[in-house]
Amino acid sequence: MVGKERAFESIKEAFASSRADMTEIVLISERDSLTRFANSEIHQNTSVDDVTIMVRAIDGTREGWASTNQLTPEALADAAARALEMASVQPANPDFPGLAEPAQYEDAHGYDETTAAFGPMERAEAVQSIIRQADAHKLNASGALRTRVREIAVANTLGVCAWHVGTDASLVTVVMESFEANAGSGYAEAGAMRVGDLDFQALGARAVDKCIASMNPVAIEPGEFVAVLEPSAVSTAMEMLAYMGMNGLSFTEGRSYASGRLGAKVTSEMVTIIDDWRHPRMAPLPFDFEGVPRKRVPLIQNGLAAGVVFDRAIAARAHTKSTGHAVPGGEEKGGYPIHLAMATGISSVEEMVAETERGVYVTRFNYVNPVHPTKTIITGMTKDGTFLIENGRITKPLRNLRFTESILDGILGSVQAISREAELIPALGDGGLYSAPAIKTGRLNFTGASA
Amino acid sequence: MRELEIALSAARAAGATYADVRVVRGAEEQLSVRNGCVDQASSGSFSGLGVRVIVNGAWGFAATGCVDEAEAASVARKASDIARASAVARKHDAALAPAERVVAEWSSPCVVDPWSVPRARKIDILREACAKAMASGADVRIANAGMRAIDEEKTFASSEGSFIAQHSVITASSVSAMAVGGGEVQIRSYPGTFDGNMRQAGFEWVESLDLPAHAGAVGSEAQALLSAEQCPSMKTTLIIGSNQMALQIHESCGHPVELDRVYGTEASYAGTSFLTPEKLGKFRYGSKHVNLYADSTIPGGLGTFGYDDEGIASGRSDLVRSGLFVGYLMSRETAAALGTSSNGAMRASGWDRMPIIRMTNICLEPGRESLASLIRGTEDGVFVDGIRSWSIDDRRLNFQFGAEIGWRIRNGELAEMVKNPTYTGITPEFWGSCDGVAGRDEWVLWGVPNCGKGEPLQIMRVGHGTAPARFRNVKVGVGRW
Repeated sequence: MVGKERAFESIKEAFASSRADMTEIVLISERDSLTRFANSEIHQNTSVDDVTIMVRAIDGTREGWASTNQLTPEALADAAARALEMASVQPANPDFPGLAEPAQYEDAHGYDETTAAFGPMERAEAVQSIIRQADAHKLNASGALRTRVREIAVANTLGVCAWHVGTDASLVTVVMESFEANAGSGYAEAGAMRVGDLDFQALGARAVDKCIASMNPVAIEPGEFVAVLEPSAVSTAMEMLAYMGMNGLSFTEGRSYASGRLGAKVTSEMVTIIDDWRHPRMAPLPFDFEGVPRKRVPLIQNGLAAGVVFDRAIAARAHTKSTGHAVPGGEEKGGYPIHLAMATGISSVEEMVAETERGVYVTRFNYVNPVHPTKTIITGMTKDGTFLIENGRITKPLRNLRFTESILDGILGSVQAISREAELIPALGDGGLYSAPAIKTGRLNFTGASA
Repeated sequence: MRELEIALSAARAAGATYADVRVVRGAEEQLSVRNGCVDQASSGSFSGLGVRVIVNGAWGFAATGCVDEAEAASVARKASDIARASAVARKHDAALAPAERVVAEWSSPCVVDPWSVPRARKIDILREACAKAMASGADVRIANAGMRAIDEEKTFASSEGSFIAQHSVITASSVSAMAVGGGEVQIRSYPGTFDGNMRQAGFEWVESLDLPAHAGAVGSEAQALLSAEQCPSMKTTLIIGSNQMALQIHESCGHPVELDRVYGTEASYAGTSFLTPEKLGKFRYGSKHVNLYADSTIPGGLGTFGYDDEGIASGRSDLVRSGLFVGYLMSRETAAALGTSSNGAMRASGWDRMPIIRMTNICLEPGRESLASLIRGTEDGVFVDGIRSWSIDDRRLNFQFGAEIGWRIRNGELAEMVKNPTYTGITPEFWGSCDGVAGRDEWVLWGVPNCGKGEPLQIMRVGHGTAPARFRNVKVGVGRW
């Protein structure tokens, strides 16, 4: 890791070498360690140390970007020169809003020494605790345990100077009866700022139990069903919604579900989704990659479209202010929510099942992608534990089903119950952690089934 | 490079029975214009070193962005420590199929160095393409045009004595138009989705694409889609265009023939495969018209190289021959488990990732038809093209894909345009219904830059050679619209 002092020394050196009118630098230093297991043994085990420095050079109203992963004075000077070169070839941009002004940031308390120091042997032992449970039932365990420590520094020549060090950890496990078609399969996943908050034994037990319960599944005719969705499935729906419509650029260009509909009903009134970096147990990050303090942004409030997130450039275009959601590198314009949380309800999963005459219980969705972004239609498969609910109880495991459904009009538009408890679920890629409860929806349209 | 020797020595001293090391250095330039304004102008440089070892029969990998002699030794020792930890949860020793010792150099073809072309000229091309796309439809709200260039040098050395230097230059350029109106958003892209059609070539590839000449059609089709009828829901004959066929092959053939998936090592993330080893040489994957192969030697292909990241030479191998499943994409370890030798499909997305099995150029062999003859032979059906949406189950059987654009086919002729076309099927049933593939004249080599697999995630560049093909009795227009 680079450390705060060296990070800002390097940034100062780069500022000194920059000939741009204004310069912004984002430095991300990361140790990313991941132990992967399959067939109940560790087969891939990695640890990567890297630092990324992104330089934004401003020449009048034109901006150019350059990056390097070398922290030497020569590499930084070269990046600063390349950024200015990239700016200089452009026509003037009258909409350029300038760089962020200095701000005060809240303390985030996002660092956990135990997580930062969690080594390969500790990861191996954690993984072993899951494998042993699978072995005891002659099942096949696979998954990944990841720990990460990350330093982020954002500074610009107007005086912005933000620094944060944080940790996070996640575990995903799939326990399978075999690789045959329609074999039993179970799943558990969790994310946290502290690795100590991950209960490996309990997560392994959950996946094993679900695998056993899902053996010998039966086929049902696809169609529209009431469905109880576990937090993993709800988190995926939230992630898709964020991708398709919670971004300021898609909003201003009329491509978002929220475009022209702020204040309008878009889901059941039971649904509230916010982006809140202070949400309990989240891996906090108090500023964005332009150095703007992150705001708590209600996205859907009691079923009404309440807002989207913005970075500075798109906020200026929309005649509003940045919400502090800029992403690094300037590639994805408009901002992105990385601390999504759906408000919890008053029900329990058991109550949701007990109050369902006929429905489908879904552990998770797999390989979900948008079909039609403005209509928020997505498709994907159920996986690792799909069950039939009949007369208030789970009666039998089901073969996996393909669904094609609108998140807003269907899944979240027909919410009948939300659980009291939420789980912290790692989003795909580097998308952060989402807090998701279980829900019962009156509408999930199944359009196919596994072979 | 002395860092490689030092890393290998340090790995041996730390108990490694096998080690390989890669040093990767490179640069990338990205330019994009959105609605006439420069949206992105970035220049990146990167370098790093990754060491992979076997200690006590188990794998370890460590990597650093700092390439110097001290760090090379330190990273090799770290990889060895990680491997020792892996051995705690090991049930069998890692075994590698034999590999020849190789000392070689390889370079991709490049006529015009993309860094030699003035950026102002590149931006002029993009702005012209944008302007033409915008001018082609009243409701075209967004026109995007972009260019990418990547220059990458990779040096590989192994404890078995191989030492390989490879140099690759990659370029891409594309234009897309987005029409917005009446609750609809419709997009058309040229030459295809995902950065257009990325290729290992110099700026001559960008010139040959001639974005401004095609931008008008992109805009007018996006505009026309807004008022097109919704693709009907029915079982019918489906003709898939060349660009969409790249997706079809990628998801339903390229991934299921990856032998690591077959053996379960991607089970918790990318999934497994229905093409299990007992099916090799016996399973009917498709009709007699279906011939699929992997070829990492095609000039310009995004899955083309001299040697993979285990030092195995590139080559061509059959995957499906006259409909019969006959081959896998393999690494040295999975090939050993199958009792054969690797066909060189092991690649890492960068210095910071452990190599895993990746597609090379997975291609559909041209047939004897043409797109025109396929349409002529269709009384009633749908023709679709332009990748838009994709999902497939974890064993690669139940898929549902969407395309940017479609047309009804009536009485052997293209009829009205349809929007939001989707189709679904079960892989072997679908390929089994193929009754015609277009010929060499309509075969296109596509570069796909965004294949995701592995944890931590690896985004890989792969290639697909495709021609339009026809499938009978396919469910199209899936879902409620």
